[in-house]
Amino acid sequence: MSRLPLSHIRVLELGTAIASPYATSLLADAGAEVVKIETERRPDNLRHNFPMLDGVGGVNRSFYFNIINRNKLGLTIDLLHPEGRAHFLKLVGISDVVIENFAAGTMERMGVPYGELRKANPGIIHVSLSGFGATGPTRNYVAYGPLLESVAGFAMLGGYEGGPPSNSAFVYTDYVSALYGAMLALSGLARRQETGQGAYFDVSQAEVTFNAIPDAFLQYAVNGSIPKKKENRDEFIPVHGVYHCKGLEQWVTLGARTEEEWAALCKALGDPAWAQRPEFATPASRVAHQAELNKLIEAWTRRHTPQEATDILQQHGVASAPVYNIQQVYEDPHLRERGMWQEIVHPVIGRRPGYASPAFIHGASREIRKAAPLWAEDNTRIYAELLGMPPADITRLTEAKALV
Amino acid sequence: MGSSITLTPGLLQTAKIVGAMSPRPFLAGTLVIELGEVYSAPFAGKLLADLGADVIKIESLPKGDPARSMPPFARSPSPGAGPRDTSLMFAWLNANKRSVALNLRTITGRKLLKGLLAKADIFLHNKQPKDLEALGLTYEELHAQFPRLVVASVTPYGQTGPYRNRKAYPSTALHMTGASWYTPQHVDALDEPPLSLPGRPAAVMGGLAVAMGALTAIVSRKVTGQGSHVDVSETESVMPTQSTPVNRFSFDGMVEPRNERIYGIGPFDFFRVKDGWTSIFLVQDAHWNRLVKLMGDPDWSKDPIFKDRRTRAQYKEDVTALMQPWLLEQTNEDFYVKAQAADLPIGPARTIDKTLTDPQFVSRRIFRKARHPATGDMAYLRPPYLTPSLPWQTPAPSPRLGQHTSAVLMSTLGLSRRQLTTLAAQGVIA
Repeated sequence: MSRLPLSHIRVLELGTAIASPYATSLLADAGAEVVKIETERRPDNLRHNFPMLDGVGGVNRSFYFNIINRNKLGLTIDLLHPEGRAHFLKLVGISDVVIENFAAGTMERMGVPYGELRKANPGIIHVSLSGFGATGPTRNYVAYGPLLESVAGFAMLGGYEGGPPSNSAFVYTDYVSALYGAMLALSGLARRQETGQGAYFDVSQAEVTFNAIPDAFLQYAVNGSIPKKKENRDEFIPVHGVYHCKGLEQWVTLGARTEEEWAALCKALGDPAWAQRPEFATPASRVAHQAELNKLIEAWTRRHTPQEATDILQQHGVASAPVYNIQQVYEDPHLRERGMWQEIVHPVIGRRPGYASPAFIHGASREIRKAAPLWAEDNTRIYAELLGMPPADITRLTEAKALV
Repeated sequence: MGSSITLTPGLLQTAKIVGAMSPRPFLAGTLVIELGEVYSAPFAGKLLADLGADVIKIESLPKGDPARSMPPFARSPSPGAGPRDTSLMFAWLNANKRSVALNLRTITGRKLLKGLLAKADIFLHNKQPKDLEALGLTYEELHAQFPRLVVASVTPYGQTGPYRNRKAYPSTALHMTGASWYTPQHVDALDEPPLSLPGRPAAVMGGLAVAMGALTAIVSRKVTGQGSHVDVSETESVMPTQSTPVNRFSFDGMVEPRNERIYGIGPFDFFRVKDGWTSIFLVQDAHWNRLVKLMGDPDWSKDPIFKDRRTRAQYKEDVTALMQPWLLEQTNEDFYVKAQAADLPIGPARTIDKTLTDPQFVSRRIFRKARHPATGDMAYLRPPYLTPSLPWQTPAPSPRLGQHTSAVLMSTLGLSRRQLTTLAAQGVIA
């Protein structure tokens, strides 16, 4: 089997929920040895997220925890215990990256800010993924994903004009922040392999969310106008939307930006007479008469299933896709052929679908090597084999609550 | 039970540790050749440029990147700026890059591109396989000639699989992941269509994934000496966000109905306040208790059905109706401060103008205004991270089409003025 690209890298994760756990999953998928560090006082709250096997609670039964934390080792340490902290810093000494998503100031309060990590290992890369960043007057505000989407201006751009705001419904902020976290850790490693320098990144998830709506920012900051909600339109693509197909809850999405694509769309629709009407002659007039145009397109899409419509449109070179629910995504042949779905075999919850990393590198296996760690699963191996602790010390420090 | 992960000695010890060295940008000395259009690959190029990479953007003559005509446009561009120089989106996505414009339909144009790839660390593009074949830029060909080159692509569906050549825009790719299935927040009727999300999430996540993949390959190359083929699909980049529906489907084979999405806990929604909307997404009963106190312990809150987050979700309409009069007396920004002082996850659903005056964003200086030779006024949004030893610099303005063609071909490929004149006469460069 070929080498995984990051098999020479060790990552320590002090994470909860999604932002840093998904960031380190991405590194683990590429072969990094990721040690997920938890403490009895504060397990990753995803361990208690539903659904859980048979609907019964327990630290090793959550589907969500499993899907996010695949390919990692599990370790418990209490950083508030001096001996726990000392052993954590020993691990930092033999690791490459630390990623955490604590609230601002938490690492300092636990006595392990970047300055301390750096003393233990001058080359360490520390990525902090806090809600609002490490500085600023509201750095300590409670910062869950839906709240960040709201304060950053994302939610008000969601939904329909005149209606209430809308969130992403899937904590977009956390997932995008995770991608930043993984990318920044790697950029730190890239520099370190040239210069030996470590690095500290202070990522603000609120700013991550804001960076995902640059068009709205530019429109206001440069032009002074408050952007409208896009709904299913795209101002760069005059013909663009989601259209009903044959049957309940069946839709197709399509877009035609250039004149060439507009001609292709007309042809795919069977060159209807209305396509020649002057109000659809230019991109600007198509935008001006969008509602009417959409009705005419929909009259065609309603005669087809999403799959049929997509096939016809694609044959003519029109950007289009069926609008899927999760079952349809799960059954789609394209994603299967590329190996995006990978089974996670978990000793408690069994065989479950998981995702391969989106950073697919040809020649490196996309298989998920192991399920999410059971509670404290790798304590013995890490303390004994990695830190070389005698069994008696491990027992003593576990009883003293330093390593739990 | 043993895991298949081996405990390696870890530590990357290829470089000596240097103590107090002046910080250098993370990707200084990394040459990226970007053949990218519109959003996904140019965004990835921007992410790498922000980290200090030298990004040369290859644009196809005659028109260059279509994002040059992507809204929003500058309202008051500089006199003399052409109509294809005033896109603010282009200016944001392509700051800190150089533009080399080549006619890639000519053999010489493609040779020049290959000449640049010979010097590059990363070839970043968003071309589909059929276009790469036409250009002679398939991974096999490139790897045979440039074994150390990292080829990193981001396309709607990736370089393999039955849809690899399907046409798509970021939101068409998004709709195929199920990510729009449960938007907007409230689906009243099943014939209400799924709604796209603000920004271009598939291009954003695909761009981040390909930048991350390219850097993975750079870190790996130090060990193996070999380049690799990073093949990102926008669709796959969005999929992990769908963990909740996937887990539900895996649990009981159910696709949760769109119009009955119950988070199971409450309040978990947007509410009207005096001057707009606020978000109240409470996860713990302790949150509720603190909110009740903030509302002045109203009598209705003593009813046992309001004591539990699950029954509050069940009686959602009643809870909303009872909370609403008090909420309508609150103004958004004051309520934010008051609620957060009580440790509550409550905050305003803001329009952009309000976000930009938020004391937190102001304090962290998330943007900077600067002049741009074409757009006139320009505002740069800072990348969403700070590295204290490397303060963010105002970026160099986005290039005009082919602004750096001559300079790059002379300095990087050693061409002479006379050769450039010949290339221009042949229509290879402009």
